[in-house]
Amino acid sequence: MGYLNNSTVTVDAILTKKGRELLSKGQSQFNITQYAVADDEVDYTLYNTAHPLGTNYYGSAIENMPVLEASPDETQVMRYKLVSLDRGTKEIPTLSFGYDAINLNYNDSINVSPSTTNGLQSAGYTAIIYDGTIATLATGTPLPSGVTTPFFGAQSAVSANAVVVQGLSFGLAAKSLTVTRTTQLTIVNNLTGATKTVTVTVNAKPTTA
Amino acid sequence: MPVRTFVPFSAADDIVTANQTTVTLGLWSNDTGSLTAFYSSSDQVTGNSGKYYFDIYNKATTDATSEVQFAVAYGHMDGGGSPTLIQNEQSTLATQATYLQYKNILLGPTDDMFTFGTHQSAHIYIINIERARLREQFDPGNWLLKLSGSNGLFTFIDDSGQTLSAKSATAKSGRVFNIVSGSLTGVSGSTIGASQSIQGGTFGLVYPDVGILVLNPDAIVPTVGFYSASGTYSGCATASGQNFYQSTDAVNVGRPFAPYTGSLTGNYSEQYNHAGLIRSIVRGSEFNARSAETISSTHYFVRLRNKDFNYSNNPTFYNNTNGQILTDEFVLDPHVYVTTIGLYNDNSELLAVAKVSSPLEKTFDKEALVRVRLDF
Repeated sequence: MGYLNNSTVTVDAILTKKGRELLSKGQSQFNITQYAVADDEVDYTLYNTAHPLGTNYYGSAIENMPVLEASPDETQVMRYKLVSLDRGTKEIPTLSFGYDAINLNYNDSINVSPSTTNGLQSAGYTAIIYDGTIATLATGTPLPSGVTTPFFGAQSAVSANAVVVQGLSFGLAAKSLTVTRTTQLTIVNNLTGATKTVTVTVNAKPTTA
Repeated sequence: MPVRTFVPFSAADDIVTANQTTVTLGLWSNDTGSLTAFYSSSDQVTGNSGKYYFDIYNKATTDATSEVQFAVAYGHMDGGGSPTLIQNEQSTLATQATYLQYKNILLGPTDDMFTFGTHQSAHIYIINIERARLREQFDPGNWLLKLSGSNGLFTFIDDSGQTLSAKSATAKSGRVFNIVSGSLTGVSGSTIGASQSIQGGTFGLVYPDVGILVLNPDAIVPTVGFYSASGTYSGCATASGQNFYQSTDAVNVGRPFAPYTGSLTGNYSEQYNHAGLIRSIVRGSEFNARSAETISSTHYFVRLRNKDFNYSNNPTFYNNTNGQILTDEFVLDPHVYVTTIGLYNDNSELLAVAKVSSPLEKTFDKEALVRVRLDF
């Protein structure tokens, strides 16, 4: 008769930049009420169903990999959230917005209207452009009243030039640039965590003769 | 089952607040508990601050990684050791300012002088721990300072173990303890050899909450054997005496001079009386101490129930175009691996994040309980 394993995994958390910002405003501003989990770093192609030692070893390559320390930058962690779905689900809700890449010229602007399979968009979306100096990102259709699920919080909470907005649709407009530059646009479904990232290229403003 | 990525905490069941843990660490740089080499900067001798105190470093100040560990000062209630304004109208009365400064910080409003046992002392040595080293408090009962002089090597500790009836495992609330001669061994965690000198009361006082040791020169000097200053004004300001800040030559052979508080003549120089104690510390070659810090923690119990969190938005888990799960075995028996736990507020703003040491497998057949500790 062996001993039952009653151990609890204990991990230490670090504050994100947003957490530090709110904590500096007072304990009342810092109120943790919910949690989510993610599998950042895991590549499921390592799950080997042909492992010669059998089923117990299918996931051994993943289970034995070392995990990196947490980053305080909220734009760089919790990228791929785990989601609760009914057993037998064959398709993960996916997000699309009609672009696999975005190419903008000077004065161009587009409307980005994300949609999610199964219509799971009641909580809206969070859009992040990682370099807000090359294009303007703004909310097109705001979230319905009562839905407040900003994913990464205020713009001041994220690093460098990133801009974060929430809504049901978004407007993206090129800024005037002297050289062509690129960045990335990520849109996240606030409910399912479904994410899509595309490259945004803003071409240089043509010079006039 | 509702589709969800966020799970609310139950404030009653999942969050445990106000856990307080006292953490002790070596007091000196890099959490070192023992300091055996002491360095000061020659710039302080020529600078204005040298009249008041000298910073003691863990390495030669030419080493870019050297850091201040503590400061040593000398104070005299009537300004002994510093020129009077009559003698030098540029005098800033450094020793008097120092004595009154520490009196103001450490004593009550009705106390005029530092009292060691029954002995009131008009002058004091001060060892002031650098703030960055101290963290929250100096850990009483777990430090020793060796001083060397003509009477030999003496080890000084405090009497907190005897005062509190047990060795202080960590810093206690409280306040001030006597400095005694003894060792950090014995039933009470320490053994007192002598609680005071015959000549001048107890050896000093330690104030753990502010990281200050006040030594009584009237007890330390005759017990350890500091050399009497000689000459017209010869405390530590003589040519040879100023070598105290050097670590390799004169310091080790230099004598710890007793404070010179007599009448100044000649050039009316500052006496740098704190240099005598520095020399004795350097010759003693050991200052062991710990810092103590109380950390408040909140524990969040993250419950990964069997039906939750069994699918992933990881791009290697499913086809991002049609949503189909890429591994056939995962359709009926998904296996996902938790690496990261995010703690959010009501607005779903990520406030804290934790990582597990290795990926934690999650399936419909497995539940997991993860305790996330957040220190403030």
